[in-house]
Amino acid sequence: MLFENVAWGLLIAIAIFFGGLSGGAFIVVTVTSFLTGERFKEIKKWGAFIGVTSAILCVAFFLLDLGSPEKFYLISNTSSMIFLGTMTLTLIIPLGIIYTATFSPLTDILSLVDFTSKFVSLLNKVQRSLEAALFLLGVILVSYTSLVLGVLWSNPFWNTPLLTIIFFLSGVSTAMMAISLVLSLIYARGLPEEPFKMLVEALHRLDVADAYFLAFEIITILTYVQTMYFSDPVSKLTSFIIVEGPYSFLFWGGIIILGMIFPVIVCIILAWKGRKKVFIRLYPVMMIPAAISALIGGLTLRYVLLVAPQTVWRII
Amino acid sequence: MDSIDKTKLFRLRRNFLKLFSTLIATFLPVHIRSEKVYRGDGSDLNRVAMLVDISKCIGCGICNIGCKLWNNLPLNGRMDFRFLSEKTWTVIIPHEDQGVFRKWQCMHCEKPPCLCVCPTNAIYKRPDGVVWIHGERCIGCKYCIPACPYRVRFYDEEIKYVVKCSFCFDRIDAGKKPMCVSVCPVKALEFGTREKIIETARQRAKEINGYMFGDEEEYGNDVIYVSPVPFEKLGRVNGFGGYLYPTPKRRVPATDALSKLLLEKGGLGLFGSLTLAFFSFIFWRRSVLKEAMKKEIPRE
Repeated sequence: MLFENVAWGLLIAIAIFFGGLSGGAFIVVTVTSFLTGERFKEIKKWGAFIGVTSAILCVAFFLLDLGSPEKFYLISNTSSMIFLGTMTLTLIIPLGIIYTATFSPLTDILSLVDFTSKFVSLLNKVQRSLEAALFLLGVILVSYTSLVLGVLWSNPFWNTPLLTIIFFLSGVSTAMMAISLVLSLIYARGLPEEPFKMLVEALHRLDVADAYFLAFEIITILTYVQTMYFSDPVSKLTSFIIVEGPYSFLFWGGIIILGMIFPVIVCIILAWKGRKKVFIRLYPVMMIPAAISALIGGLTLRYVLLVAPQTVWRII
Repeated sequence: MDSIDKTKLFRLRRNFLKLFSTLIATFLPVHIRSEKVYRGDGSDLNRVAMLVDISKCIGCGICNIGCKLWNNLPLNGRMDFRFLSEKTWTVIIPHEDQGVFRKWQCMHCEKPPCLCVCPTNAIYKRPDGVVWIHGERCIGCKYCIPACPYRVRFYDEEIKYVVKCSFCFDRIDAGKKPMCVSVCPVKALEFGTREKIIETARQRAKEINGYMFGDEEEYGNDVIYVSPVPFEKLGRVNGFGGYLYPTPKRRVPATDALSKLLLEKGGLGLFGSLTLAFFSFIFWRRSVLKEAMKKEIPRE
């Protein structure tokens, strides 16, 4: 079941997972910057890094799945949704790299040198514009998968705007979890009290926002499956194999429990008790399993929503 | 006081304009419809078609063998007759409960969804209506496979591109009929101009008091079926009839599908209201945080 012989399988599921993660990371970074300015610089820095890395991985997995990756330059049909994704990734990677470079310690060194200092000051000046562009591209990238699948009217299970909402919520929530995971892994140990409190504050903000996103995601995905079950027969059968059929283990175990309920519970506990003096040192430690399970859940969600509707045709 | 109000008003106006322009920029591409949806000429008198008369078909499978021989495809045993694959471009599907057999292959749609979604323009429609693939342009993204409403496309790992029934266009160019039509021993298959084939199909349907499929579906396919039993009863396999029969609402070329998704399926309202809610929350949250910061650091 994990390696179904379908047109779009595990490789594409991984690619769209990284695409969603990248878009979500840039949304988190730009919104954080807009709301809090320079206060949570670590979120911005590591968010941008995750955004760029995920976008590159997304391209890599797409190319791995392509039959003839050497001919990718032939993508030119503007009416195809793949063109939109290609253009978004082509823009988001260099812009993301430039944006990430503004957080690099190298820029501090370069600003000391005469002929590179102008370049560094220019980078700092355009940071706001870069953020605006990255936000827009992030929104497109995070919703892109749902548009690729949504325009395929021949499969009514995909042909619904609800899919966009699911991919948007999942992209942003997995990005927040990925940033929390990186921050927890890097800074959990050896930080003095004050910076550690600042780290916990950043994690707490992400954690609360993520709890809301995941709660909405649970509602949306259950609504989606329920709505599809009561629509046309193809969607009904797809919903059935997801909820009760061969994909039920992945759906309930991987997506709902591991990917959503468990992280939500951990987020609520941390938001409630995590910042108390007794538990504060445990905050990043507890964040790690929650983040990992949310990321696994995000990948499973994409795999199930991508593969299950393709297998229905063989059952029928 | 007056100056403060003016500043507030200015900020409000600026934020509104930002929000409005973002929304316009987001939704504008939705309305850009490509003219490349259909690259053939539907009114062309030379448009060809095939008639599949299910009432005559005896399920011998000679069409399948003929297709394989002409297109140089390997013969792999009995399963080849039943399931379409990259090495089997036409099959015979038995319907024991109805006592009929039906041939199955690419329908050569008037507005092929596979053509619309292909990112490299590798898929094209010839003036005679045949849908085929420029192998050298195909990058193997396989987007056309789930896009096909009849599920007749398959990716060939050996030649690295997606394949399907070619309608034997090389034979058509040479003035011959497709191989399956030529070898059919009971004349269940007929080939000719689309107008003539539709006329024949209508007459035949009248004679047997049967049903027609393909003259209107997907704006008119180039494979027309005549059957003594309703097509709904021949459904359940590969998108033909039954509950996989594309209903009129679903008959949309893929490029128009984006605007349909947004305009008819409530997407625009849903996205619009969510975008507005998202931006309202962000701006509200920003003002709350600013107020909180002002309280933390009192200005001199």
